[in-house]
Amino acid sequence: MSNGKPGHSGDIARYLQRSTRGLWGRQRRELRQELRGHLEARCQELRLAGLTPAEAIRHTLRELGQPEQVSLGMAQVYLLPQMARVTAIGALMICTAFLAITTGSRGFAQVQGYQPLFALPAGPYTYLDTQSLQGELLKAGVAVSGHPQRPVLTFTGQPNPVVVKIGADEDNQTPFVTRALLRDYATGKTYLDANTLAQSLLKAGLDVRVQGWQNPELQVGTLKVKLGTAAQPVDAYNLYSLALSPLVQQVGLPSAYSAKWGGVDLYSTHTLPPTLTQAQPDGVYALVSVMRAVRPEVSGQPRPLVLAFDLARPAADGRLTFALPYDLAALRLSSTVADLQQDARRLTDPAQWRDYASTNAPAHALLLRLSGSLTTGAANTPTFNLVPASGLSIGEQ
Amino acid sequence: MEPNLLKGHLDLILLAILEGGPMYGLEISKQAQVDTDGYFDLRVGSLYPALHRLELAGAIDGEFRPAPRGGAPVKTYWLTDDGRTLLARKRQEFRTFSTHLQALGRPYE
Repeated sequence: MSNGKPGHSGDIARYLQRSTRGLWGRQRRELRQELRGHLEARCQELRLAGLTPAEAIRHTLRELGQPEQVSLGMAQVYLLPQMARVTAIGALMICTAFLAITTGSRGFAQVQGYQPLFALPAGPYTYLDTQSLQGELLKAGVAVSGHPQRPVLTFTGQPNPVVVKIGADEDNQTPFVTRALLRDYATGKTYLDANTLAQSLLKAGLDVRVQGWQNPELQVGTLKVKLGTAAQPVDAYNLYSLALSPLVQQVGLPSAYSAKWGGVDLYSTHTLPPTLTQAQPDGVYALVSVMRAVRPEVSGQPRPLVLAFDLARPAADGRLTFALPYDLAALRLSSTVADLQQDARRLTDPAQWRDYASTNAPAHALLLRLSGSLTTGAANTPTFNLVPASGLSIGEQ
Repeated sequence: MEPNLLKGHLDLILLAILEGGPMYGLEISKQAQVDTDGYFDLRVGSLYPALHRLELAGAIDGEFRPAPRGGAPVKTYWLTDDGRTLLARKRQEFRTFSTHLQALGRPYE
């Protein structure tokens, strides 16, 4: 039978590919084989019940649900530590050493990033190798209190204790740590998310700055830490995204969202010419706009509004290219935050949803130049400056 | 059924089903539905990660076997001795929990 078969076997291949994403080697092959066994057995049952092969495949895939639920579940089994306590303490030691140094001596340390042997589901995470962090930084001992998965750090010169939220259940009911801290079973190494670390430092009122892009420098107080090595690079994309938090608040949205965190390669790509942006060669720029989140946080709930963004550095010819979520096809460049606030109000009306960000009703977008400072507050260098821009941008899809 | 309730008792549910004999994933999820008149709906997204976790923990063991009607082989799981001990302990824990919960009052009577 040939009714739609190639398309449907393609669907199966895609399902198996997506549901086993994040695993590698033998684990991946075996899970793929196992799910294929399940799928084929179910299809056969349905065919015996009278469905055509194509219908049986469609029905089975519907029953299986989102492949990401499998891959995320498996990531928790294989990639996140079962020995959460041990690794949480490991990560904690880094933070304490880090803080100890920021309060006193100057230092320069180099920290390995993470070239994953497996592909994790996409998300706003940048991993730092805890061991090399320790190797470079653990030169001072600091007292630690609190739960291992929610350590509280008290250090000299800072009146307020720092809470490093690893994000695991505080009552330790689950054996899984969140994605802020993970363990690569292949090498036994543990990795801490750079943004989790940076956010803990920011919360404690420390001055945090990022400089550069590939293997950036993270500056905390007077301490400079080089993130990434040639063999284990770190990219500053996620760290820079923290600079958008004042704008997220100002527009009144719950969070920022990059299409690059979505795990789906569907973008509206907006390219802005140098005549428009006057981009500085070493600058880091953001294009931001308001949209409804791609997925609701809880299925069945309405999709919340988010500040969609992408970050870019100018190409050799000065152009800036931003990959925004697919829905943001038509953008009207603006220079005032009020325009984004107005879009957020517009989107509370479901009648606006269909045409929003189409050429009939473009969404407003702001072009920002990021300063590298991640510390918010009136007394600090602003985390970004608005670049005056106007005109319409139609994204390539 | 409330998803969190299912999640919290997934190990107990899977071990109890496998007590009946070796089974592969699809059979396990169907068995859960049949035994509970559809109350337990074990989705693939929670079923397989849980099976792999129990296998890593040594409570169950598994191997690929030929599928009953041909086609790709299926991975069949069975309880290990450790799994039987774990099942007994989980049952006891659940009984204790449920006894205490009932002692809290019977608002629906």
